Formats: sequence, C-alpha cells, structure tokens
Amino acid sequence: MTASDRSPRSPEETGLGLEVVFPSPRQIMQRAMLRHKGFLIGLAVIAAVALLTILAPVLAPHDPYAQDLGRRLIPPVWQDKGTWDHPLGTDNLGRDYLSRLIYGSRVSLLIGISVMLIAGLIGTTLGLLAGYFGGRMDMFVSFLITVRLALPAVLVAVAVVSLIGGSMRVVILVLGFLVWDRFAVVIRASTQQIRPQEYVAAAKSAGCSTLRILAQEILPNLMNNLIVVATLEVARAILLEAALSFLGMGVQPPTPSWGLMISEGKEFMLFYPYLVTIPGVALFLLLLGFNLFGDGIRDVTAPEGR
Amino acid sequence: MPDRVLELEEVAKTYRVSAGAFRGNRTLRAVNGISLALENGEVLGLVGESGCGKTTVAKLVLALETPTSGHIRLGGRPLTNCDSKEIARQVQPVFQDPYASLNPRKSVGSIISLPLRALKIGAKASWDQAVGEIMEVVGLAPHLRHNYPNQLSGGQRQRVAVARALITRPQLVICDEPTSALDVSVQAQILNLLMRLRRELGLTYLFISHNLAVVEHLASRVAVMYLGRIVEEAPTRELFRNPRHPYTQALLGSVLTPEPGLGLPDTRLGIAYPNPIDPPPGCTFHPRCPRAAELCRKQAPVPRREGGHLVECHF
Amino acid sequence: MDLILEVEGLHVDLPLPAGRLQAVRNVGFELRQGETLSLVGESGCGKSLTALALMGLLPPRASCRASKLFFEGCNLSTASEKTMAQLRGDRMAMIFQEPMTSLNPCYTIGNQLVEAYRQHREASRREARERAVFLLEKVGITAAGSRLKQFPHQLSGGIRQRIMIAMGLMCGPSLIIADEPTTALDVTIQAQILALLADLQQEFRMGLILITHDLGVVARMAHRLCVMYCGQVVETGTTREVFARPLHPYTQGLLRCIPVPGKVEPGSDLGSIPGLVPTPIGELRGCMFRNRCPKALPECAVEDHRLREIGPGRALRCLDAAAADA
Repeated sequence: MTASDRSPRSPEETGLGLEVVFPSPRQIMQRAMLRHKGFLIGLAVIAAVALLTILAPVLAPHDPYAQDLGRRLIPPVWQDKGTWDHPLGTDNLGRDYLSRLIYGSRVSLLIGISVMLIAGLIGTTLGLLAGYFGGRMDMFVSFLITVRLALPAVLVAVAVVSLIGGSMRVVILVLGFLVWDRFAVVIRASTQQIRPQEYVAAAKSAGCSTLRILAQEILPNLMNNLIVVATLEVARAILLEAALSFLGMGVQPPTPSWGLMISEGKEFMLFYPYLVTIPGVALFLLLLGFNLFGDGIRDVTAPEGR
Repeated sequence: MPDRVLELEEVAKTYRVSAGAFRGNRTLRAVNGISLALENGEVLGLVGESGCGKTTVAKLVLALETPTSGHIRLGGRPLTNCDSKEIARQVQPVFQDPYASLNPRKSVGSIISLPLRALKIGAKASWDQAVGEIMEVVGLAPHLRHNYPNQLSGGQRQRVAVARALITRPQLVICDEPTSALDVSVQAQILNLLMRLRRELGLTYLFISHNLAVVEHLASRVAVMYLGRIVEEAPTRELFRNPRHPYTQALLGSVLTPEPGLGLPDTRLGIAYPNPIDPPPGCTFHPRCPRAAELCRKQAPVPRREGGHLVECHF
Repeated sequence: MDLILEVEGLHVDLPLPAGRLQAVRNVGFELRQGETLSLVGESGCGKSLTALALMGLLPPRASCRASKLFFEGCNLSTASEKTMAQLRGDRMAMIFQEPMTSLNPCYTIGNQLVEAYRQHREASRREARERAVFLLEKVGITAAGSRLKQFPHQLSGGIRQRIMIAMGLMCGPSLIIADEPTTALDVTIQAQILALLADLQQEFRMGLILITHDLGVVARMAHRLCVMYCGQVVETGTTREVFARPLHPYTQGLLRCIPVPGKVEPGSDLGSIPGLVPTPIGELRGCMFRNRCPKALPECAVEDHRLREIGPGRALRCLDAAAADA
C-alpha cells in the first residue's frame, strides 16, 4: 500500500506492483457511493424534491393559493370525473392540489434544513466542548442533554406555539432549539474517540491553539458522522413540522404545508381519501429518501479495516 | 544557545483513576520523582517497559501535561513560564504509531507545514518551499505532498512525522518509541535517518524506547525507568557493560538475540506484575527481584552516584 | 514423528479498492508432531493470512484455494464450516497477538475456559472447571481457583496471554498456531511466555506454528522456519542452517538489520534494506525482492522463480547461482 514513485519504470521494475496507486480517502468514498443503491436512490429522491422546490413557480400549473369554490373537491386524474387540468385534483377550497403539493415541498425542505442547521450548530458545539474538555464541561453538557431528552419535543413545541402563535419562523426556531440532542450525543462520542489520537497531541505540540485544533484536526474527522446525523435530523425535522402543522400548531393556513394539507383533508377523508393520501405519500417518500441517503452515507464512510 | 537543553528536577505526576465502580478513586503515580539533565547535542535514552512512566515523561516535557510537583526547565527557563508557542518552537515530538500520529484527513504537505502555520513562522509563500526542503532531507519523494496518510507505508508515514517535527528546527526532539511499530528493515532506515539528522542539524534527542539494542546504538547516555522512578543511569557503554541494578540486568538478559541453540533466558523474575496503582512498599522492584531481602520490603533505596553511574538499589 | 499438517499451493486473495491483492501466493510447508515451525516475515508478507486460512477464519471477502491442505488426514479445503467449527478449539487452536482484545470482557475467565471445553466435549461444568484449574496452574498462574471468577480487565497482559494459552490447550489440540504471541508484551515477560509455550509443546506433544517478525524469537524457539516476503516463501530450512548460512538476500538483509545489544558500535549505521515493499496487485512477474536486492540481475525481472529444494528440508527461491550450488 505505498504511494507510487512517478519516475519512469525500467523494465526490471514492472511486474512488482510498485506503480499501484492506492486511492485517496475521497476517491475510496466516491467509488463506494456510486455502488451503493440506497445512497443513489435517496440522493435521487432528494434531488427530485429539491428541483421541485426550486422550480416551483415554473412547474406548478396553478397558483396554490387561488381558490375556486366552483371547482371544489375534484378528484385526481386517475379517478373518473378527474381532469388533466388538475392532475391531483383540488381541495375543499378549489385550490389545485398538485400546485399545493409542489409549494408544500418548499415548506418541508426549508424548515427541515433550517432546523438541521440551527440544531446542528448548537449540538455540535456542545458535543465538541464536552468531548474535548471532559471534566466539568462534560458533566454540564451531559446534564443539558439529559434534561433535553426528558422533555417531549412535540409537547414543548405545542406549548410554545400556543403561547406565541404559529408561523414558519416560530416553528423553525422552536424545533431548532429542541432537536440538537442527537447531534450533541454523537459528536461528543466521536470527539472522545478522536481526542486521544496522537495527531491531536502532535498538533498541540506544534503550537496550535485549541480553536485551531477543534476546527482543523478534530472537526474534519467528525464530518462523516456529522453528515449522517444531519441527514437523519432533516428527516426528523420534516416529520415534526408535519406533525405540528397537522395539530394546527405549526405553519398556519393558507400556507401549503403537507401536514396542514393532511389536517385540512381529514374531515373529507371518508369520501375523498386522496386529500390525505397524496400528501401522506409525498411525506413518506421524502422521509424515505433522506433516510436512505443518510444510511448510505454512513455505510460508505464506515472506516475500512486497515 | 544554552548548554543545558532540558532539566527535570524531582518531577512527579499523579493521576486520579477510578479503581472500579464501587471502589472510588485511587492515585496513580505515573512519575514519582525523576531528575534528568540533557546537554546540547546529547541523546538520552529512556528505557522501560509498560507502566514505567516514560510516556508520561514525554508528555510532561512537551507540556501536554503539567507536573504535580517538581520543576522542568527548557533551555534554562521553567516550562511554566513559557507559553505554548514558545515551547512548540523549542521542542517537538515524534510519536510511536505512524498510523495515529498523522491526521487521516489532511494531505502530507498540510501535515508537515502545520507547525509553520500554527506558529506563523515566515511568510505564507515560503511554506511550500520549506516543506519541499524538509521532505528532501528526510527522504520523501516531493510529489508525495499531495498524498494522504492512508496511501503511504509505515516507514513513509514516520518520515512525515519526522519532517513535521523538524520543520521549525527545534532544539529538542522527543522520540517516543519512534520505530517500535515499524518493520525491522524499515526501523533501521528511520533510525539511521534520525542519527544523520542529529549530526547535520545539531539536534538533541530524548529517545524513549523499550528496545535496548536500538537505544545502545543511538544514545550517549541511558536512564532505566521502573514504576515511575529512574533506577539506573549511566553512559551507554558503561551501562551495557556493567549494569548494576537487577532490573537492568534482567532487561538485558531478556533480549532474545538471533542465535539459535541458546534456548530461552531465565531471568528469575517471577510472575508478579508491576501495578502502578498499587505499588509495592519499600523498593518497588522487590517482588520480582532475585536479590530481594527484608530491607528491600521495608525501605525504598536512595539513589547512589558513583562517577557517572547512578543506581537506586540497596546492594 | 507423524506429519500432522501438509500445506501446498496455498493462495489467498483480497479484493481492495486498488485491485485484487494476491496476499499469499503458492505457500507450502509441513509440520510434524512436536515440532515448532516459524513463519517469519515483516508486515504484509502474508504470514497471518496463512494462519487464518488454515483455521478457516479468513475475512469473508477473501478467497482461498490450495492444492493440498491436510490436517491430520482431513482435507481442510473441502471441509464444511461445520467441520471447521468442530476442529477449531478442539484439534487446532490459535493464540492471537493482542491479549487485551482476545478475551471477552463480559464473561469471567472461568466462564470462557469452561465454554471452550464444553463446546467440544461431553463434560459437566465441574469436570470442565477442574480441567481449567489444572491448565491454569500448568501455565503458571497462582491461585487458579480464584482466578476463574475474575474478569479480563482485572488482569495484566502477561497473565491474559497465559490464559489464552490455557484456553487453547483445554481440549488438547495437536496443533497450536501462535500469531505474534509476545509482540504486545513487555520484553521481560516475553521470555517467560515463550518458555512456557515451549515446555507445554514438549509435554503435550503438539505441533506449534509460531508466526513472528522477530528473528530472535525464531532463533530461540523454532526448529524450522519459512521466511516469507510479499506473500511467498523465499527460504526454508532448520533454524540452525538458516541462521548459520542465510541464502536468500532478504534473509541476509533481515539478519543484518537486527541490532544486538553488546555487539553494537555506537555511531555506525544500522543495517537496513533500502526501498519499499512492493504491493502484490496486478500482473506479477519475477522476483518480488529485486527492487531492494543488492544482487539483482536482469533475469530476476523476467523469470518466475520457483521454490527449489537444495537440500533435505532446505529450499530457496532465488536465482543466485552460488547459493543454489551450496
């Protein structure tokens, strides 16, 4: 497993495998990614939804807020009485369901990613500090984590929202400050594993400041775990948002959120089940995509035996 | 340049360890009163087995740990007075495990230039050239700077570690078992490199190892450690020709030379194993010592110095 | 002395991101009852994989084939996993390098020793425990009875390795494979453990395959040795023969590299072998040592060297004419 010497090979030296180039960590990872089915499927799903989100104004056939009470509850195109004008039908206010679905993806992704970023920042910082400094800092952070885990996230969110009122901003902030626990736990454990490695001691001996060590020596080695957790946390956040909106404690109407669409549709569920199943299936597929992607990254970046 | 590069005076380091879930905390005396002096250009070999505290000594000298008691002086100045950047300029490590001492996510060039970047030595533009120069000095092909540690062999990785240690031209290099994890044929390459660099760059080494033959080759003086104390110290030739402490004698006797037909040595050491958390009373070596007497159980021996030869034994 | 192990034409391949690694190529040797054979070489030479191939413990990605792989008359290449599981621990045992990780930290010593025995024998717990105590005392552990109740983390490395040896002996195997059994131990403990292994081997008439990179250990312990380099056996012979007159340039280089205390001239360079170990991936031709060999000839690049018998039990894989005639 030696790096190749690029000087020209004499005939005596071929056939020894000396020119074999062992791939870099990035190349190993890239090759593994291309072979991993779950990763690719998950990536495809996320990319498709992201595309929907970005191109929403172009792709959506109608304005998702436009009500047309004369065209209420038209079923999707595969049922009779459906039309291609409204491929996924309309809801009880005559709004085009396909357009609402597409615009709803914006809400899901925006909230999911924002929450992940906030929670990630909080959790990673806490985890790094706890893992690196140990002692009292670790005790303090562990206490915080324990307290946080003792709180039921959904109930706290509901409580806050009923005090302040719901909106996208509120949902993002509340969830962001609630779901950092997994980040903290994973990053803390990983940091504890990395800390005793000799390259950290070498960096310290080379005169690196603590900040530099955390940012340049420890964090890059955490990235694999961090990305896996981040992906799974996006999924968790999306689901939490949908739950909150379903309860009426999240995004407020008329904003199209998939959870809200399910909530609004549940009254008509018996005769118009598509109102609930369509956003439900969309939610399921998006979450599946993120989970497959996250699992795929974990498999692909799992350290190989030496 | 001060003559005395490093000085340790009655340095001790104790840790608190938990001795099990219900037995509370015990003290672990990793280093129990060590005094050493290193002159400029010397190589001091520090020899001992696991649990003797030699790695702790390395950490103390590198200021990765602070001593519980005693003084450490680097170039005449107490270590506590120096900030981490000053210490980094004067003393650098080469560690044992070539796989763990390099950050797997960084390229070789980035690893080697780390001290320059951390200490902000010289202009950014000069760093590339400095890296290239030091790589040549340690015998690494220049294109390797873009490779990652997992693409290099153990010997190459250790060269990277040496390059990183030397790029700031420190006065003192702490080698903590630098070749123990390498193959025999490669060990010699690295040791020869270290010897050559010492001559060419005028370095001083604290060379820690459990391999006596290697130490004999490199060191001008050798100190033998056991359970946190130095039990014998002498110039190399003197120590190997005339070992006085029973532990040193046992160490030398245990080395298996490649001579068939000689069978296996019997060092008469017994099966007791040194436990730094629970050291034996009196002389810490007495449970394993073939010459132990009543006195050894009761009283710790006082170090005696005869000429350049220091021994800590009642006999 | 009976032949208990016959290996011929053993190949082990490992798929790596960079290609298929031919980790073990055409390795063969024999072992008799009561004999100690050493597989010597540095890291990457394939000695550990050879041992794992014998025990059927190769990683799942590895592929293995041999023209002859017989242990006590049983063909190991065609043996089912069930047969191998029966043989392992009972007829053939392996002692690994790291005593810290070879024992399960969740179970007591007694538990693990007893399990090792009752896996293969119809015996009551009491009988198994008696045998465990007997063997613990044989390996020099005092207060064996109370040790049975202890957990691995309570014991030092030297004692754990003794326990590993006792565990290997529980069913009275005819073959013990020791993979670097003392490398992780202190040098003062090393000699004791090796002496113990040698005594036990003589007493129980077992075959011992000692895998190591330490030529000192080989010299003092082994009757015969196979020097391995880059997956191939390059020299075999009795220990006395090979150390007295090493024929392969790699063996000669290895012996030069070893500093011997008392015979060292301070200040002089240590013997070393220049260059890097090649990676056996892809089209391999000729002698794998030629890029580091002081005596390399152009023919060394082209011909496929065979391991040639140059005397009874003495073989060499080298074109060096003078050596071949010896």
